[in-house]
Amino acid sequence: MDPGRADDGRDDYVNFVERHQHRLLRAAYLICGNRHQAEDLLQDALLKLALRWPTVRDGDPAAYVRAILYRDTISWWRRRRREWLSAYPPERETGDGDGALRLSVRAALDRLPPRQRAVVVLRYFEDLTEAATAEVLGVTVGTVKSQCHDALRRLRQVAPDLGVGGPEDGRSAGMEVGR
Amino acid sequence: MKEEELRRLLTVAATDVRPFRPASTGWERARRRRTRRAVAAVALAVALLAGATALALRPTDHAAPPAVPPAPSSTGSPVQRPPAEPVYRGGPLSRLTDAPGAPLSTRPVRRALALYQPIDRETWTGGEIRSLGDDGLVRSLDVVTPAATRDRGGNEAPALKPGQLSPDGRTAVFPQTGEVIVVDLTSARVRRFPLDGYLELAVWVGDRVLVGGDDRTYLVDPVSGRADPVAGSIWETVAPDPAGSPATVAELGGVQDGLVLRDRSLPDGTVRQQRKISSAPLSGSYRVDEFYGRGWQRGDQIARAGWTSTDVRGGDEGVAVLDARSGAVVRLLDLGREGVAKACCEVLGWDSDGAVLLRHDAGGLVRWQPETGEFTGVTRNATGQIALAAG
Repeated sequence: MDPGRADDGRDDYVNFVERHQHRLLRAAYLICGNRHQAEDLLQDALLKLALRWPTVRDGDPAAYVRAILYRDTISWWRRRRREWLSAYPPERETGDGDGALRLSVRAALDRLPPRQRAVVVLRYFEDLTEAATAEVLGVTVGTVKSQCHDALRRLRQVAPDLGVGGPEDGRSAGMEVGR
Repeated sequence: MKEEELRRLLTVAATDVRPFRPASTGWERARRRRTRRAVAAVALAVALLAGATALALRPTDHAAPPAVPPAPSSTGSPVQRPPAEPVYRGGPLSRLTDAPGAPLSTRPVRRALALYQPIDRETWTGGEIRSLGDDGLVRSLDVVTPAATRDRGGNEAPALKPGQLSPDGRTAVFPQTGEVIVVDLTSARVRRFPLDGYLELAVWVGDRVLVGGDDRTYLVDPVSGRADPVAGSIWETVAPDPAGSPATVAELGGVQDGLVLRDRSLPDGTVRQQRKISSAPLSGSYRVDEFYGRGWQRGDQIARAGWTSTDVRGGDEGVAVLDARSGAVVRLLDLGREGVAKACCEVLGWDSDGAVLLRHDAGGLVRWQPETGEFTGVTRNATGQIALAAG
């Protein structure tokens, strides 16, 4: 017998969170752009997961918490984007070798609307398929395709130095190809 | 660059972000929430049983006291805290989430107390909008189905948001992309006025309504449809006192030391006065860092939810009451951050007794009386979108 099932589910829950929270937190951070807010949003999602754990634990808890986290993050970001844009000055370079690149990527993501950011993060950070991305965000695959296309075009415009695939390499729509 | 390069960039961008709370935090928060609810349920059952017993012993007493005892009142000090679990006393708005008893087309209202749209909190899809009349009957809004609003980037939000029901409860307005829908709830008549832009929010100002979105705001006559562009952001506009002058609206904007309160003339948009918001009247180094949701004015007071901090902690949830003349925060409801969701506690308006109506916990609608500290529940099941006639 699985000893984790002998209790009220706490051990299973904690094990799950320990395995997934790092990646989920990074994803939230990439969308909302502030690490403290990302932590708060993740904690809210994990609270909802804990409240539903008995019914979710035998299914796909990662998909459940991911859907909560992404939708809450987009919703939250929308509610306060104006304030956020002026509230938090750009983060400073930490001095390591990737510091400048990190700031450039974050600045480029800041220029995307929240759902476009979410699509980019789900597709290229979480490595989900278009269909899985659509399911997380509660939108159609067509919307994911168009949002991804728009996001990549925008990234090329605002951060040409990052070299996100452009028309010259024949990939302007190439990233829309679903898996 | 290929897809692999984009993956590498995203990984680099987030590589220094690490969790700092134990994995068990969510479980402990959930346990505390379950405990609070269980305690409240037991307390309510005991109170109801006691009330029923009293009624059984005094069957002729038609003026029996309320079954639920009054909540403990805190003082009217500048900084107040809610009880661990508010006592839900009910009242007309407690029927907000009842199932519709009739369609609006056959049973128009005399006056609506509120509009309500159920929301699936996991998919963020909105259900059919309903209207709670002052007769206690919930009607389904069958005469029109407003779409979810969206901005230029395609980000959607539910069709119903606070501010869309007129203070007199007779008219509902639904900003949409490229049009405004006006519903006369007393006749079920629908009018649609074309209006350019991604329109998402509404604020009633006298018998007209401000309608707008990210990049524009109009002052609309809901009868004729005439719309005049006005300056200012509708996101920052405070819903004015229905009894006040429709010639001026207040705005709350900025963050932290840059928080300001402005008075803006309508329809010309001139800023007549601007002052910094001060949290000095609060004790214990409390301060408001940022507001969210809609602000609501009643007389010389403005209530709005926000994030607060002290010298030792930050990011707490709170509701502030400001003096609209000076910009001073004169009352603060400190809601903390444990056991509450981010942006948990949006203010939805004032009631006729001078209490602030706000969201609290998951699905809770509560009343907070800033003068006395009284904090009581209205309904605990309203997880959807709400627009109150209470201005």
